[in-house]
Amino acid sequence: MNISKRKFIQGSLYSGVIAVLGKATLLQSAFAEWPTAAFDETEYEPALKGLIGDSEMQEGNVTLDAPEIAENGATVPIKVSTDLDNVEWISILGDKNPRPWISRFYFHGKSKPFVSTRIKLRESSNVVAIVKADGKLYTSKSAVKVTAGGCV
Amino acid sequence: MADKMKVRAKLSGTTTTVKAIMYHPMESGSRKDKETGELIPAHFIKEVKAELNGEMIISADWGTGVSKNPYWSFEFEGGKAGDTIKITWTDNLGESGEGEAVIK
Repeated sequence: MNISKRKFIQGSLYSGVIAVLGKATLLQSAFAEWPTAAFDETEYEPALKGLIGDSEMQEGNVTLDAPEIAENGATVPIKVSTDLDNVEWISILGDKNPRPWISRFYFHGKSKPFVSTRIKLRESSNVVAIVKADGKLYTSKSAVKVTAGGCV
Repeated sequence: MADKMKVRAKLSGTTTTVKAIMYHPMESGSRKDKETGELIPAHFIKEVKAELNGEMIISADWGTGVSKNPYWSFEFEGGKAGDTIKITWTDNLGESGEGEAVIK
């Protein structure tokens, strides 16, 4: 191989690497990493650990609006909000679900720290909301009695 | 892609409230087909984002615990009547969908 050809190949390799890195950075800025470690767990405590690691949570500062009784576990309306400033994300879990971690919402510039969603609950369980604000974690839970479990 | 989502955005004072329904099976992968007895493969939205005039305002990671045909409502400040809200999702099979609404 002559030198100019080798240089050409090296050059294209480098630009390929740079293109890949550039794409990864773009994706990172749009979405934090999807929480595979939390999703893969089938028990509540390991799923929670997959989400927040060994971080401590404080009770309170989180308003969780969930029904006391859900007739249909396939679609349970949940609202979460907080008065805390600088909210990074809100996450929702169901402690008896086959996959306890359900969702996480990230708040950017102009959004208010509020989410309204519908979740599946396999059976009567605690719904747990976690808020990350100013680097700290806050939590609230609510017991929901499910009369017909959702197909989760 | 309009058939995959309905979006509404309404301004009240300084706060815009967005309500969206995305048409998606949200299959968990643990349900069985009643006739064949075979597991129905997982098929669920993993990532969603909402943009105001192209600027990200809220995004989400979802698992299989989000209900079929997901409903999602959120609020933000600084929107004006006539601004466009765009919501985009991507699922675990690499499919995607989007919907838009003009703030009223």
